[in-house]
Amino acid sequence: MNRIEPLAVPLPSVSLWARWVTPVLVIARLTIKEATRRWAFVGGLLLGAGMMALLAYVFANVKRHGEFLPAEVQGSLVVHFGLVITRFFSAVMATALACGAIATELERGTLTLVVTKPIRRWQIVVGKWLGFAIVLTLNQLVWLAVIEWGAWNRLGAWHWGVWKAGLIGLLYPLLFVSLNLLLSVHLPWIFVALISLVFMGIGWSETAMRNIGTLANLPRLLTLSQIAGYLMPTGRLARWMVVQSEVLDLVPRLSGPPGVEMPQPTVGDLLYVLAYILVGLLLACWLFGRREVAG
Amino acid sequence: MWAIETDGLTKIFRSLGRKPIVAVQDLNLRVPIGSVFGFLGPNGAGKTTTLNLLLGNLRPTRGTGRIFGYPIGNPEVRRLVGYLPEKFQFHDFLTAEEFLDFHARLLGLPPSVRRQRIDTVLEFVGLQGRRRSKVREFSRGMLQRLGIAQALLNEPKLVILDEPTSALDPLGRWEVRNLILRLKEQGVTVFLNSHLLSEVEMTCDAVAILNKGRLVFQGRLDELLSEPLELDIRFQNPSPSWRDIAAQWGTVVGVNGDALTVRVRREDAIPDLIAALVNNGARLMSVVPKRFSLEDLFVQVIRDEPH
Repeated sequence: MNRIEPLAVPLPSVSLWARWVTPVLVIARLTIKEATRRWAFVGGLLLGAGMMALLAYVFANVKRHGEFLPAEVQGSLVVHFGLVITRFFSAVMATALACGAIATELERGTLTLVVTKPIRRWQIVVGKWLGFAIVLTLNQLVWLAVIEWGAWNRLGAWHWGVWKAGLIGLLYPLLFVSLNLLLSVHLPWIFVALISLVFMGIGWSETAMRNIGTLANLPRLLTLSQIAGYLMPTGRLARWMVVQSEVLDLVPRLSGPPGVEMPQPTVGDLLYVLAYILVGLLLACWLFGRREVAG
Repeated sequence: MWAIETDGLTKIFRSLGRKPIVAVQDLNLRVPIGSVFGFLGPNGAGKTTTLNLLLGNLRPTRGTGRIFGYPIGNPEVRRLVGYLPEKFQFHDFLTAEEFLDFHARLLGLPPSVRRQRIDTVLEFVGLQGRRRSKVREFSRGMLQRLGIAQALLNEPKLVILDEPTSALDPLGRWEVRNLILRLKEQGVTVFLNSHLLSEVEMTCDAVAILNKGRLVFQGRLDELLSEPLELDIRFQNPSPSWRDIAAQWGTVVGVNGDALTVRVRREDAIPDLIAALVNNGARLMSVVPKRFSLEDLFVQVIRDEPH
């Protein structure tokens, strides 16, 4: 008697959208939900906004030679230092939110069920990246609104420089999200956070080393500054933001100490930052795709 | 075709400065479609590693595996699979409904189907009344049931359950057992990794026993439990000669006063053994067949393995 072989079990048909895009959006949605209920987000948002409001208050009351600063100068200072604060806080928040995105979630078990669904690993990474990007962008927009309010209070007019610089500043947290996701594929959150802080320091040290190297004529320090600029290109973004914030006409000193000329930002700087973000993200996808997960 | 089929599946963990660990070695597993298959082994036998290989979480060092004929590691094959891991943590800020909706979306279920499936699985695991409760408010047993619910969302053809009753009380275990049997009625293949041998005995059609990464037994449970068979024979007039007669029909594994314990290889040897004893003057008080439990066999198989 012929043995009847069971029929092959067909795979359910799924649309291309459901196969390739939906999982990314689903992960992004969950990431947004998760991030916005964390103290790191709520606290960072309120603290940043509070500091910017405080800044506006302080500059409105600063006296020089017994007189208040001119309103235009006050407004420029609010914009400039407000943007400095957004850069710092957005980097810290990006790190706080993304440092435990993969390895720590696997350790905790919250990703265990997700990786066994019909989802590609890169979709998880891209979904998380997208979720963090949306949350941090919205957060940045709130901060920019607070800076605009502070500037408007002093200038009595809309200061477009806030938004032009702010738009470029949106890349700032994305740099850190890519870096943190890349590191978090294999490392627990505490190491990711520490390394991220070191990179933050490297980025900030670029300007300091350039200034000191120029003033003290130390070519090696200038070379180190350049290397730091490649390792963490936050200085490139900072220069773009300074120029786009339209404060240098009124307060030229904001570009740096006397005797040091701030390098003019170029399109190449922005392209480098974009490539940095993209390469970090792609590497994270590749590494997570190769990572073995013992559930 | 098999629901799960592996050929020489091997996983060796290597790390710098340490001896390689052979977690799974040359595993040739065959899980029949529509069966409830028990996957047994002591701690560290390589059961969870095998599950991770099947689900594509780990890459085999060598060998291959297929689920319904599709190679393991292909994410699309997971559309046919529902999985409940042993250790998991849910996003506890979600409600039960939101949690299931998240997983249903990941599975690519269209909105209308999604809603209907969520209703069905919540009812299936008896959590329909708690659909809007936050997951963090759930007891361990309820979490386990919710985990089972997410494993059933896509109407899987194969359900892999890793220690599904480890967190449950006796009633919860009974419920899961019934649930497995209901899945079987629906033609779903259930791959059950469990330490609770009594549970496996009650639900499974076939079992595989893994020890130190190697498959030491695989077969149908009824065949496994029917042979060998032991008989406790009590005599009114015990005599040393009865032992020799019994030895012709089986193996005498114990002598206790007026009783012999004889292991026969086949059930149809029993009438011949009894007739031989009676014909030689033995007066029998009782003949009690003693069937092996899965636990007995499990212990025997593991003990018989060379160390």
